[in-house]
Amino acid sequence: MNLDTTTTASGGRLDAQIPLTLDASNVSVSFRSPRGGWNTVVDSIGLGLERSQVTVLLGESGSGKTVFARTITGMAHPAAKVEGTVEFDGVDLLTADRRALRRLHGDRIGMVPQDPNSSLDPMRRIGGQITETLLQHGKVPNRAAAVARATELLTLVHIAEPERVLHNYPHEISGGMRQRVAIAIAICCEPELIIADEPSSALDASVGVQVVRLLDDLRVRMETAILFITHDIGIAALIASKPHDRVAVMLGGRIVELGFAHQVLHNAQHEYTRALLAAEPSANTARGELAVVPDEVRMRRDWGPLRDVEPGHAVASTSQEVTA
Amino acid sequence: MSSVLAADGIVKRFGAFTALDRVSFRLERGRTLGVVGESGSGKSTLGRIVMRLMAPDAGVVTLGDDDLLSMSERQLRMARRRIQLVPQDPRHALNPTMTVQQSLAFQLRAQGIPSREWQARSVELLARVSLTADYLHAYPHELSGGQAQRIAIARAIANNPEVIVADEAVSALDKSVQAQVLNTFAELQSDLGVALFFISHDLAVVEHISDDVLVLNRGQVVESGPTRAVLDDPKDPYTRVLLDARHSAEAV
Amino acid sequence: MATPTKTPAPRFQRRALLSRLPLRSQVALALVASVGLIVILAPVLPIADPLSGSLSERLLPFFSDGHVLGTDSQGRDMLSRLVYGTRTSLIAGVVPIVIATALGLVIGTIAGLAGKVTNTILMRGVDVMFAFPGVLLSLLLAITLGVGLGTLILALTLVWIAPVARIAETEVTRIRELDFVTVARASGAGLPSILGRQIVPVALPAVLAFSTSLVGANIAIAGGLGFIGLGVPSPEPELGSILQEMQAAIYSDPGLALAPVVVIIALSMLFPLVGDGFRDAISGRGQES
Repeated sequence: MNLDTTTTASGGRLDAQIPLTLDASNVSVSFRSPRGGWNTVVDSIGLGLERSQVTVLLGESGSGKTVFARTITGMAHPAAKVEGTVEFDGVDLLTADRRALRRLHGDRIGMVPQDPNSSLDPMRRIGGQITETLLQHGKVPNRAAAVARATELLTLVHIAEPERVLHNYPHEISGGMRQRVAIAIAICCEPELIIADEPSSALDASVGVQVVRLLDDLRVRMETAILFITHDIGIAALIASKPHDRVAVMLGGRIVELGFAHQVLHNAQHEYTRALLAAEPSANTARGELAVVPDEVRMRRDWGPLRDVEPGHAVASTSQEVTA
Repeated sequence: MSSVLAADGIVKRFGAFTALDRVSFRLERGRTLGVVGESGSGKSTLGRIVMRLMAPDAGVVTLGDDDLLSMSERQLRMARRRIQLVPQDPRHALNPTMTVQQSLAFQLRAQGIPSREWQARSVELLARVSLTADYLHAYPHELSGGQAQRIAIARAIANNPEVIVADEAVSALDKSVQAQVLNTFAELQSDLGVALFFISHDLAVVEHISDDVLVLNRGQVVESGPTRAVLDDPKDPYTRVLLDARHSAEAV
Repeated sequence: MATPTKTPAPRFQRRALLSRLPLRSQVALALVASVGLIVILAPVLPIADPLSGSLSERLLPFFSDGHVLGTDSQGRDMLSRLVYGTRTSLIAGVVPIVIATALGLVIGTIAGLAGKVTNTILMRGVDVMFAFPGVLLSLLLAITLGVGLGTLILALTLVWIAPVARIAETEVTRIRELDFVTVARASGAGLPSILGRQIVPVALPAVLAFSTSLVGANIAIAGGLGFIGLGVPSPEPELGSILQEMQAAIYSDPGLALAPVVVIIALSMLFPLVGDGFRDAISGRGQES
């Protein structure tokens, strides 16, 4: 069976009948190189996201994961050259006009960014930032209802004393709480899709874990699809807690392994994934002997197309593999 | 035998806020003390104080047999050779207008090493952190996070210190890159016998690299002792909270 | 021991600074350099004496015999007056900025490193200097010291110290908190070394970028002051005062009358182009991509 690059590998989809919340095909993103020519940051990636499912985009800095995530929500960098299609409820997000995108963002697509300090407006009280989004997307009939809903949301994200926090400015609450507020804003209109870009990386380990657990909990309740970006395997394992959750490993702008979480994390087939898994610091590894991702692996760009190695699990082949 | 670095009763207040409340510890030669706690626990402040980059309101810091805080300027200048810092953010750890060679030379010059020796010493230092001599000509913005941190480490060992204070030195790196930097720290400890004062919010990292741990919560030492003893049988609820985070992220 | 990683040998290439400038900056630099060269070489160039003229040759038009750009109302050669006038304008435009940059850098650096009290004293002093309008200051100095190039340069220098000091203070305050400075302090290096090698070089690009952007404005201001008679006294040529003299000729010979304005505007636009280009090229080294 000869499969070509993108979505055709079944990667985590056993039932092709389930409708996709978001379907990205052949997405490529390039930027002009200072020396002329184009620098391809995302190379022909296909990915389908389902309701109630977490898809982890696992990769190191520079793998293109953030650029991919922003691009497929229609927020590509203005200087980028974008190719491919991204279907969301019949609309191609890559070609949609700004008004249509503004209606979707915050309402049906929510974003939880990495840095809670820059995502919240430092000059406005927390309450105002939440109620504004609710009113803007017409989710509530009036201000009083918006305030009530905002209070509910803060309780939902486990913020104690929500009435007090509504009146706080961002700098008056802790980093972990700011991130919870960012999540509250992202979910306030009950979106179908949430993009979470390293939501725990800027937080202390213990606080980050709580934030991730919160996101997991919410997606079960609201049946949201989540695209979760991280470089941390422990966090990936934590968020991809349900049997149908998936992990996509990104390297150099391409997906090199894609499958259900238990497949990728416990039966990794690609040498890069294996190297990432081996590099986790644990009490058991002797000091000085942590496995390191070899640079030759990290810098390779000539991986072949994704091929199924078991149902739902696809791996980018190396050039030595024989095509069936 | 005296410890290489010790503190006794350190107190630090910022206005009405007490950042450190009677903190004491001992770091033995060639060993690693992990200082763990969440943001705001005071661990970075402690790191600054033991390097005499900040003055405490009370307490004593001893470097070997010497009282660090009451030294004269001249004595301090020489003592500085013995304790060095590796900071958190690789983007700001190196001067952006200086090449790697120039950054290393600054460190060597500060302790009176003659300029004719700089290049050879620098090449040696880079080799110790597994980087080739080509990197001498690089500017910081041309380096990856992991490379910049390794150069920050090379700079720290330039004058053969007895102690390195690593202040969240791997926290800003991808997990996969942390491994290489942690290995570097371990190799240097075993090759050079340097002691490590390793500050981190990440218990998994602290557990891996430390012989002893000091758990800080809001400026107070809530627990301390050999790593395995503390983490296998935590007495303080705060330690348990930190452990819980590490366990749940260890699903692999 | 751990598996050693084989990193392929990296090459850190450098392109010469000048070749990294964008095209418009290179062109601007070439033009400014040409102008600079001409005015420096003015005394040995085959042009007439800008101060001598005979009334019998007043207001000759372009391309007159011996006077390519004609003569002014005193019979002096216009080309020569423009060349020497540009020279004076450039001196009045650039020298105050150079001095103000040096002084502003010193004041700003001291304030940036000092404790709260010293910083407050210095920066409030800077604020006071900010309050003084350049024209008023020039007038006061001209009255007390007499009109002349020296007075003009003094007045303009005083005007520009304050803004440079502010930029320098902001930069130094920001830089001294960065980790590499903390490590430098911990290395045992002395304050002069930390200041000269670690702090000032990082502050310099921002300060210099700001200063070069001031040159353009300052050339125009110097011309303006010359126009109202606070520049160099006649018969010394200076673009602003030449413009003054040629006012009467604006209807009969607009091209000639406006020539000084054209030069002033051109220079005040070229300098920022050069400065911006250098700033971008240099900070490509200091910033992350």
